[in-house]
Amino acid sequence: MTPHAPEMTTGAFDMDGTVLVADDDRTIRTVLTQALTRAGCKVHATSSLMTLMRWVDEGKGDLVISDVIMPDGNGLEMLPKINENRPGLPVIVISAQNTIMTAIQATEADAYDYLPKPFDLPDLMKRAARALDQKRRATPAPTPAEQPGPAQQEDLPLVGRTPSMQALYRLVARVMNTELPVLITGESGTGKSLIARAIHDFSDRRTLPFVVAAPSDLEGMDGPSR
Amino acid sequence: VIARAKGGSILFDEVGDLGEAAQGKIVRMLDAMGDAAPR
Repeated sequence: MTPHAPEMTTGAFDMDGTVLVADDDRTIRTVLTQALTRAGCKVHATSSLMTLMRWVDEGKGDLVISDVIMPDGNGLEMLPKINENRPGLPVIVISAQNTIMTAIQATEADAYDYLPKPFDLPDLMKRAARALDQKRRATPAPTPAEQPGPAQQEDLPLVGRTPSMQALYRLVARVMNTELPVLITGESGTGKSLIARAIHDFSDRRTLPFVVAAPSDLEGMDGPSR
Repeated sequence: VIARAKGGSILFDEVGDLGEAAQGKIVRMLDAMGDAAPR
């Protein structure tokens, strides 16, 4: 799994800080190390989660970029420990397990950001620069509350690994626990109801009712608006 | 419909098919309910 557009330049990024990179793919480590170093960062790269956690516990790093599936563990499962030991240390999760569950689990585990593989290197660099900038100015983040897993992998209501679906997963993860009304637009048959259902089912409201109001239920509302 | 969704979520399906007046009523109703409105 290699990042998109490896030939692109990263000279536009002027970054400062130490980045810890954990990925079992040597190509990813090499590409990220080169790009981040070129941008002005100091980089520690490893293929081991244990090594990453040791660096974190030693106080190293201003930003973590971590894969999920690693030979010695799951990067998402390390997030609560990182948040506990180093509150405010941003973690960007990158993963080839690019389902809606990964996006939601990363959000619930309080990851700073989530990028599915194959990722766009300039996009990752932009997010890394933003994370480092925020880290410089941030106060320590509160420890995230324990959240139950909402669904099993095989029960996924949405499937697809295309970039547009990944963007959709990220949006669902971002809005699911807000109080905001969500306007879902799209052609007939594209799955608007599925999205609405997924937002509900993955939210803290999942045990409460999900009601569909069809146009016929709302017919009586037509007429003068005031 | 709103009462059934209390505390949970409500999907106004095909809301674009409703007239503007009805859409406006829905928005105002949700605004008026504030935090008590379903999402």
